[in-house]
Amino acid sequence: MNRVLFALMSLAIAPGGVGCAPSLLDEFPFDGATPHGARITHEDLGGGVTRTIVDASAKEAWVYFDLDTGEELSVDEAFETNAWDLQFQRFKVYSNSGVHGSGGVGVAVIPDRSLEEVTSAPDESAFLEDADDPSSENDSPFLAGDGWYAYDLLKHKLTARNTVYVVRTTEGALHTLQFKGYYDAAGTAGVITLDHARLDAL
Amino acid sequence: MPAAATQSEPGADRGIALVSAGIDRSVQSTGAAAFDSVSPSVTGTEVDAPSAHDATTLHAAAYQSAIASGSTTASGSIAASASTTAGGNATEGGNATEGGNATVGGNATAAGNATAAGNATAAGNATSAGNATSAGNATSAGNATSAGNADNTTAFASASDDAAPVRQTVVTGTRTERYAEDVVVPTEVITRRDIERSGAKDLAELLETQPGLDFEYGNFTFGGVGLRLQGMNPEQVMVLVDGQRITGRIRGLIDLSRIPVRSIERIEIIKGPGSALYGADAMGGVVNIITRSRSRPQEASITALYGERNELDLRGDAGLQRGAFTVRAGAGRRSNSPYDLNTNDPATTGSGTGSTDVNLGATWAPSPNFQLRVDSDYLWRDLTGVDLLPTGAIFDRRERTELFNAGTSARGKLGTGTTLSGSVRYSVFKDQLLQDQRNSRQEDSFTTSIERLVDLNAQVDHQLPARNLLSAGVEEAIFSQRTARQGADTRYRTRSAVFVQDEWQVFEDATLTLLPGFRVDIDSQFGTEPSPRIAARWAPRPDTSLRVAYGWGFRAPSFQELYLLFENTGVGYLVQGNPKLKPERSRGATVAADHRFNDDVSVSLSVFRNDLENLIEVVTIAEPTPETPLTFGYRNVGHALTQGGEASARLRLWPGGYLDVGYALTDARNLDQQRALEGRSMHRISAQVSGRIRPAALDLSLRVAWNSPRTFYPNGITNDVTVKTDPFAVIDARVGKRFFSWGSAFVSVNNALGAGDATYLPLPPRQFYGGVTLELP
Repeated sequence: MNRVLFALMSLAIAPGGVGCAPSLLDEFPFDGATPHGARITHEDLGGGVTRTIVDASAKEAWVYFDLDTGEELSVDEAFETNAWDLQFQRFKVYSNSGVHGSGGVGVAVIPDRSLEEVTSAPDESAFLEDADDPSSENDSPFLAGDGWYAYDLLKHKLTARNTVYVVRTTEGALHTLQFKGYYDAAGTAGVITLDHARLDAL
Repeated sequence: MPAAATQSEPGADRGIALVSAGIDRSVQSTGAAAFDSVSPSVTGTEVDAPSAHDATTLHAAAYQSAIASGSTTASGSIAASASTTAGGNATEGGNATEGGNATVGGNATAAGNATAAGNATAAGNATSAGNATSAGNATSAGNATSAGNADNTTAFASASDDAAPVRQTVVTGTRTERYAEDVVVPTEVITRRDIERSGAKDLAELLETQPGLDFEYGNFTFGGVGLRLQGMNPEQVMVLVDGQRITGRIRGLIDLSRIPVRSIERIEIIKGPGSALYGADAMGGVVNIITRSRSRPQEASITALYGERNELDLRGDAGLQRGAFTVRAGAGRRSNSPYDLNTNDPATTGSGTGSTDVNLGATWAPSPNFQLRVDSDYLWRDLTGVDLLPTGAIFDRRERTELFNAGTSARGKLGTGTTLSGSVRYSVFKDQLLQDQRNSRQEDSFTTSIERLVDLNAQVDHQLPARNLLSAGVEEAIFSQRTARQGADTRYRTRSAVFVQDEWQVFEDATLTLLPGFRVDIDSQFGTEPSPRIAARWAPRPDTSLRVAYGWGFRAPSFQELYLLFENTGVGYLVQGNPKLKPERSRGATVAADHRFNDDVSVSLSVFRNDLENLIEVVTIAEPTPETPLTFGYRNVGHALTQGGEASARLRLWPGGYLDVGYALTDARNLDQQRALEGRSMHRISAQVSGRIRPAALDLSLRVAWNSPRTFYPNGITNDVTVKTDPFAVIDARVGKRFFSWGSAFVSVNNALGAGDATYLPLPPRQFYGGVTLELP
């Protein structure tokens, strides 16, 4: 009833009324480039440390990363080979274990350390896997507890914590890994910077 | 003398009531201006009134005569012209009027009775006219009462009509402009003359140095200036145009800087809970913008203004009056560049503006007993700026808002003592926001939202013989909003209301007036909300009055608060609207006293207290769990208290020149967090010197407002970090000079001290500008 009345009133009093002005989108098309191509890029920092930038900014897609080869895997490749170690989507980071995969990847959490300070693997008992229960799928070693990031509620800004993760990959290799950032140079969220190194290479 | 002029006792009461009203601050503070504003175009020949007091008297009389005679002669006897009145349509007073009163001055009183209150209402402002002297005879004013209903925006009255007074600086007590309110409820008025003298380009500039007002300067990135009243937030303050609700709140506030002053006749401000008449959102008070609707037989003016920051402002106005018809039209174009108070980062502080607005209105008043008005306006405003997020992302921001209003209103008298009025208004507000991330396309966004409002009102006022003016009315409002963040659906809500009010002159001498009122709103979302108010005014002497008011106010939850569903996937939180929200509520009392010592000095004092509950706040409603992200939601959980007082004085420095000083104390506290509400100055001191130096034909205005330190809590709900800003002062000055009868030029400076900082006080920096106005002689 109200809608009918409303529509009638609108028509009677001001057909059109507002909307004369053109759309801003037509007048000022967005500039800048749409990301394309590789979602994972590397930079050698020396001393066995590699800096990897993972563009996980897509809200739906997952990015699969194989620490052993340092390569990105497409979704198909990831499922076919099961060689992926970590998957990324925005701030979510899972390992190939538990409900997320059958790769048996383990992650040990060592808070308040820098990458250089961790030169040996913790006890086997320190390694955790993602949860087995599908209803708690966010229960990954990267997200549990304090998680890999700190979130400023007021600024809506996410910063990486000073935590080192030791990852036992699908091939059984040990890598140390530390998150460094969540934004690219343009300030885009979901672009994760992480430094990592093979423990036996240090 | 008009028959009606000798009519009834109630009138006399009213006359006296008005007399005392005359000393209220609103009238005082605008007395001279009111006088002036009758005929803005004659300022060149303006005669300074001997005092504010007389000024109003004069004005009333002179104006009345002008109306009556329609002539430009003023001299002579006002009484005469008043009595000879013809029912002609009033025009805005001719120059003569003013000239007239020049001489009149003294006679004013005489005139007072002569017209008997021809001024009747007029008296409203003129009050003074009533001043003792005439009061007696003013019995006549009897009509005044009924006059109460007269539309103050139209000068269709004639002195011979028993209830067709003309009002000038009256207060719009209700949407349909019933006038009981201005008598009993303290009201501040800013007149056309004040507006012109201030040189303000928009409403924000105009109000900035007004005593007793406080402002919220935008929020992170978006800007805008919102008005606080009695310590309450802009979203708790109602803004009306011609007594009717308008739409277009952005992020909770009506941006005062979007409202051009070109077509404003006057502004009326009522502080304290006013929901008993206005319904939702009138918690902290009501600002009513009265647009110009009268015209002389023909008038036209154009103003061109240029200043720093590429400020360019062109506006034109014209009016035509023929017989029963009056038409007014205007258009304006304004643009300026963004400003930046922190040049260390790429972000701008204030947006650049480009806005165009037009308005068109017509009034048909075939008889003093009937009037029909239609009007519409359209605003297109572009804002541009650069935003920097904490993440480092830089956005070029463009916002485009369009606002369209159209309405019609009618009012007619049925026999004696009964007036019927009604109106329909339709408003559309469309907002486009485009945020273009630099060097990336990832976080570009474009959102639009559109809001509509249909508001229907009907009201009847009836004068009872027993000195009661009864008013009752109904309102139906339909709101809709569509915006991406509330899902694709258009959201609707409706609100129906009934209100009733009785203005009761308790004694025959009208020293005491009681004003009980009650309104019930029934909202499709939150249900029934009652809003009572009782106000009283006691005027033991013509120069002294005491007023008290106690009322309830409420704010309806916004569409955003009800329906928002916003997920920030980037950082993993969710903000959820809450359809079960109840209105925010306030209970407030105000006590005000006014006294006029003599023609040169008058003072007023007031104290207030408001208790606020059910305040809608954002709270954490779900901690992050493996299944859900951190979720925020709106809840009715807040409690707050605002209390304080105001003191103001007006001194006449020279004939036509006034000093207004004011002090406001505002103690606004959040009772849950036990801390001061953010961003408010506890002390605010304002001073204003304005007037005309006649020999040189100069108009001067110097306005200063000093604000004590304000407290901010950068960490939000926690008190762990507190920022106390420095005090600041805003100084605006303007010098104008008239030449011949058709032009004037002026130079102005705004924010002369350059107060402001990018974080806590994003005021536009100092700006020099100047311009010329040409008008039809």
